[in-house]
Amino acid sequence: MKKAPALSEPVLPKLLPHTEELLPNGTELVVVNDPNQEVFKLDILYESGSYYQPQPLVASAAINMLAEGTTRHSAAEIAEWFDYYGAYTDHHSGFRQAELNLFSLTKYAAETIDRVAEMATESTVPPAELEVYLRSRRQQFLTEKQKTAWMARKESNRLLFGEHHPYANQVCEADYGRVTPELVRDFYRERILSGRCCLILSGCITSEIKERVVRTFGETLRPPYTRETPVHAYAPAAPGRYNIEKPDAVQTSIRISKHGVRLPEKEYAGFLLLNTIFGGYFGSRLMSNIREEKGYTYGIQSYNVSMPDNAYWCIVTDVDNAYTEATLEEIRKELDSIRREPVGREELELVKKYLHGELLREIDGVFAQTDALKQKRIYGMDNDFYATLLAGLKKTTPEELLELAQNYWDPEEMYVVTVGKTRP
Amino acid sequence: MIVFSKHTLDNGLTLLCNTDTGTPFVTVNTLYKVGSRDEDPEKTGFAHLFEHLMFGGSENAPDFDREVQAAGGENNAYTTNDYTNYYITVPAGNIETALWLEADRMAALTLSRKSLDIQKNVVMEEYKQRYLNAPYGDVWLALRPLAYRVHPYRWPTIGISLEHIEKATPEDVRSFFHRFYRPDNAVISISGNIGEKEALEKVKKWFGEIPPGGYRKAPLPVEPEQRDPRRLVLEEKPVPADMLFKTYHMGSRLSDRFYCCDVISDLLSNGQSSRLYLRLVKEKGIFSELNAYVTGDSDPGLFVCSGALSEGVGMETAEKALLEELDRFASEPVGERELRKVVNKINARLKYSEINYQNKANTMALFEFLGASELINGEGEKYGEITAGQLQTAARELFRPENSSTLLYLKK
Repeated sequence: MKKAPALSEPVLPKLLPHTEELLPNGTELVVVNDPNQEVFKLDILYESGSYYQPQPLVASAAINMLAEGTTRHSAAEIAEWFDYYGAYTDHHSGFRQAELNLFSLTKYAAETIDRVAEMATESTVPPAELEVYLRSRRQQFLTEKQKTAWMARKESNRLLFGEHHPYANQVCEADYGRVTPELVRDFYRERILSGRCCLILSGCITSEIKERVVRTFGETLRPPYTRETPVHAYAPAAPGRYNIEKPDAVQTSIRISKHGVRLPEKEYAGFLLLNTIFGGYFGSRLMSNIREEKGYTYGIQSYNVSMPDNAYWCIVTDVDNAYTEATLEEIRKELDSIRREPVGREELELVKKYLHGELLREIDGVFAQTDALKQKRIYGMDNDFYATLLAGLKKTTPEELLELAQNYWDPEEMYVVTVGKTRP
Repeated sequence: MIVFSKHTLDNGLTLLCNTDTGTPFVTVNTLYKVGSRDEDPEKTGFAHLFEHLMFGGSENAPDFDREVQAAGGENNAYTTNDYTNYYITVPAGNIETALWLEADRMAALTLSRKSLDIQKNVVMEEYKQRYLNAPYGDVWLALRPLAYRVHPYRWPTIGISLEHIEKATPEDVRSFFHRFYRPDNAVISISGNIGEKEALEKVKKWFGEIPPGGYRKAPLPVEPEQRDPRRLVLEEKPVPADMLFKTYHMGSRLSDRFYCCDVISDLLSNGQSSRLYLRLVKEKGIFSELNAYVTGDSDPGLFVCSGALSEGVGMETAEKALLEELDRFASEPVGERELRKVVNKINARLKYSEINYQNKANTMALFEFLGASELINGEGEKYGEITAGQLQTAARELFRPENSSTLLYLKK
């Protein structure tokens, strides 16, 4: 039979060039052009995440209501327009940033860009549309709330950040009845019409597209914020085991968490490598042991989430109620082992190669590259980050990983959350 | 447009290749023409369980995933009612590693008792996670046997029950492998940074000597025409809202009717200007969510409507409102701009799907599986030719009460 072919040397990332400029009204414009595409994307980024909202749901309502009515067009007219041109608009509301996205064929750029600009600057927040939006979100919330994994995430965030911090999910059912058109309009004026705004154009960007974007977004006045940026203090809970009983659960969701590492920190490369070995890919120690050896679960992962001013790390899995304690014990054994013995050369080399490919895939193609760039800009970096990161990974030693594991992964400092049926 | 070449090796293996120099990667997609419809009715869920076993190692590559990872690649697989699909994406310079791995497991998969026992357990946990522990997770376990009485689409890919998965034996595994996992029952599609000629040579090198199986599948039982409306009520479910499901039998993936039904489903629920969303979710507020879609199966499939009722709305009101919208197709022809809109949207979707080489590899394999590689670039035209009159005829035939199965999923 045939033996394994030789492997080629890992290639280095090739980045499309990007340009940055400041428009007359202070809006930033980033362009990543790939003339080989027939489509383009426009991302509009506002500093209007949940961190800045006066009460739950207002930030996400404000960004979502942009599609629901302007001074010139109704929600149905706006939707029909984009559907007719085969274009998509989308909305995202994060902790800090919120985004309005347009994805469109380049040949329909004029029609779609103008209408998106109208949504961004002439939103009226019609009360009837807001009501429909809240009703549907409430329903989704009630479904999510039944899921053990959702409950475990909510509990973990409460423990990590404190009950009243915006990073903890504070939404309760009654909040859906408390959002008014006035609150949403006020937030829209304060955080979407005012202050910082960044535009990212990617894909096939002709000079007409760029000029149109500059004209439609660059000249309207953007006054500064009128209110002070709120300061929310963290109030983490004491580490330990936290169990939530859900008597009708078939499986238990396990979520073990603690503070993690931010992207710009110097340990980031090593920590990424360490986490990948431990629970960050299909062949990780957690997967090999708990799925492939024991068959306790369909999947188990660990990952790190970096935020502008914080970071957390967690292990997540769903297991049959009967396997909960055995799984916790195996996780504990894996933690002890990675904190006691240096990672073997062979395993280290394997994961380095895997991670190299994984990071290249993160910036494969113009749209992936733009998404990656968007993330890096939060920290004042760009995609040159990848070359530095790859170099950092390459020189990381087993001793450094051992030290990181000892410093970051003390089981006594972790929150162990279980949601499911533990009592007979 | 996906520019591709197609070749069939002497052992029956079909290869489709598309060159995409916009990426440093390449995707090798391997589709086996076997899905849950080919299972023994007493041992359902087997095709999917077998998909798990395909990662258990082969003669020269005892640890499949490790080899992919060392090549800087990623891989995964999925099973449908019709076929099982595997893909590996690697830096283009390592394409031979991907081909070697696929060839080695096609030629000499290791079928160990231990691997079977572990994967049975993993699949049972998957069953619980997706179908039992998730709200509404068991809908299709009930809906399939309601809509299909005879055809094997009556069971889901995960299987009828946990017991069926538990029953699988090493003998089942071996005979399934020798029957279905042969080159003449497989399609390889490649998209990425590689020339078509080079790809063909390499595929010949790694797969050329694997003998064909020559297995002839017995024809599957044909679902008889449904003559009476069917109805099932599930009560006391631990969910926040009542849901209504309606299915209608429709044509197979390659029938002309498929395209009409797909357009009807888009008119009803694709996008925020679609009929069901505008009228029943937004204007009347009867549903908080409402979707219509087609299953797109190789054998005659289903047209599906599924909706979550808004709080305080009765099932009778909801069902009546949905049926009124479906009946409108029979009475009023679709307007010109509305039809244009849906066709534009479909054409844009086809364009968007060509951005990514993994998608392209998947599309090529799927159409070759259906025996219609000419449709890889031919679907836009099919949609463009549809007329309002054809839609009306299709809708009249589709939305007949005696062609429907209704499931009411009621909360506690």
